[in-house]
Amino acid sequence: MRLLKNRYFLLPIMLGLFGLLLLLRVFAGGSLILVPEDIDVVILVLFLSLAIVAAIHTLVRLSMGYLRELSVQRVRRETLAEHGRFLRRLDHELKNPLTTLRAGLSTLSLTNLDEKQQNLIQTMQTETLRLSKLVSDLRKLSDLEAQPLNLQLINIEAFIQDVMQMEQERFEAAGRRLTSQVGADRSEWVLDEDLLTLAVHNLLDNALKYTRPGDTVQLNVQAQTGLVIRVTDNGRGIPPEALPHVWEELYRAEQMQEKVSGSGIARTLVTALVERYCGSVSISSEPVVETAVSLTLPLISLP
Amino acid sequence: MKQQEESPLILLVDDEESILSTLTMFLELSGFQIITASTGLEALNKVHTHRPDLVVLDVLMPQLDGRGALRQLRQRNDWTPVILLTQVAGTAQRVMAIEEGADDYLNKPFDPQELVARIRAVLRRTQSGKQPLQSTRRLKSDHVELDRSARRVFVHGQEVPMTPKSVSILEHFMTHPDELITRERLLDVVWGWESGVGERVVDTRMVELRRALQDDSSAPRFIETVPNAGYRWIAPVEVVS
Repeated sequence: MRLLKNRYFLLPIMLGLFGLLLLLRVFAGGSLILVPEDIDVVILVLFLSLAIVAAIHTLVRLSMGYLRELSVQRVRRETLAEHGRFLRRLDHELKNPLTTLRAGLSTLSLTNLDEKQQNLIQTMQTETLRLSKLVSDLRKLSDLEAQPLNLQLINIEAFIQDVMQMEQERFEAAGRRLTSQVGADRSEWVLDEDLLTLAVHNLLDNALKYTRPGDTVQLNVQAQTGLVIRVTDNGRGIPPEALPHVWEELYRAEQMQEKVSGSGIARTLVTALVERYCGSVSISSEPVVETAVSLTLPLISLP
Repeated sequence: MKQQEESPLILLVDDEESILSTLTMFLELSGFQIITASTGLEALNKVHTHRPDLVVLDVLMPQLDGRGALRQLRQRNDWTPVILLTQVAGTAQRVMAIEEGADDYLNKPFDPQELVARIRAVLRRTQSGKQPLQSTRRLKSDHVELDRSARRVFVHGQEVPMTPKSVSILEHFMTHPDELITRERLLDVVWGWESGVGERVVDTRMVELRRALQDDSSAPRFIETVPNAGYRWIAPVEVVS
């Protein structure tokens, strides 16, 4: 059907039909004899060969397009693999120098230094630690893209209850109100619990980071045909011009940078997680009114 | 210098000169005597000639790598404690490291203080003269019994169903009793991840584990929470023969 709609097929089809009409006329035998018979046959052959040429042309054109699409896909796959190789290589190459730096700094901190020097060492240690964390986060990112899913039957209500039990304390200590709501058609779902835990806690972490004391964060889980996990808050939100970039690797909106710590890799992790599940993630924000991040995961059947 | 004679002799093996020199200085300041080697072969020779109390062995080295050196060492029936410095992420490889006869492992880049803590813990474990918990099949602690090879857990003699991850956590606790175990460490040992992003994942399993062991987190018999640090298995562990 798609082929018939293609406009490149229209020409050969029209020409072919016209040729067939002429052929019919030859067999029906001279009701409209305006030209001699042999010219008739010449025109017939002409139209039919034109139709064949046009058809071949169209076929070649379409198959070229198909091949091009295939190679684009291959290049994309190769780029992903290359990306993974690069991350692993980076991870590997950075580990030895980082080990040296940390050992050296720790050694220095054990020697007799004045307060200023101690502070300097402290700062360098913090930064080296940050670098180490970043390296292992990048590593984890490339692992996530390659790791097989570990699917199990999970009770979604119990799962959210556990999450709430762990997070409630942290949110209360930070002066935020955390509420949850679960609406499920049935409670048993097939999911990778670790990855899901990681995703939900990451969303809540982000909500905690971008809210102020007194704000409210809401965790809403709907399990019907798919699983929708929605975290909403009335915090400072995300400026509209920054919204399209939120999921880019390591991106952080400028005005947020000074106030909030982190490399922005947590969100990249969430995206990687969602991709592993063939799900989707969306974000909307109206600062101070409502900022919402939704994860939608399709129902995966047991293999 | 009496004190020097008493301090344990550590053989440090790594092919990177800069790591050897900085770590040597740090470990000496932490009260150890250090000798170094930069290949697996050299390490095997030095183990033979110097009889160190413990070997800190890098995995990735030219000529004979750390894993190969460890295998040869154990084949010679030499049970000098070994801490592997691994570089490859992924739990499977770590488990392999332990099964090949390493007493512990640490991921590069590590906190040097952590290496010191690990060296002390391994020395304590191996010098007590008892059968090491690492190499036994069944462990018992109060009313909890763990069958390591069958991956089964019994509480008050009754088998309790547990997820494989929780069993692995329990195993790590019971083979490292009385040691402070951080969330990062559990994450690394059980999941093969190193970063802080996923530490909450550990908490979920701890909830499950405590529930299964009937352990109350406010008055623990088994797993004590060390605020801002991690957990500790506080009940004594014995070997079931």
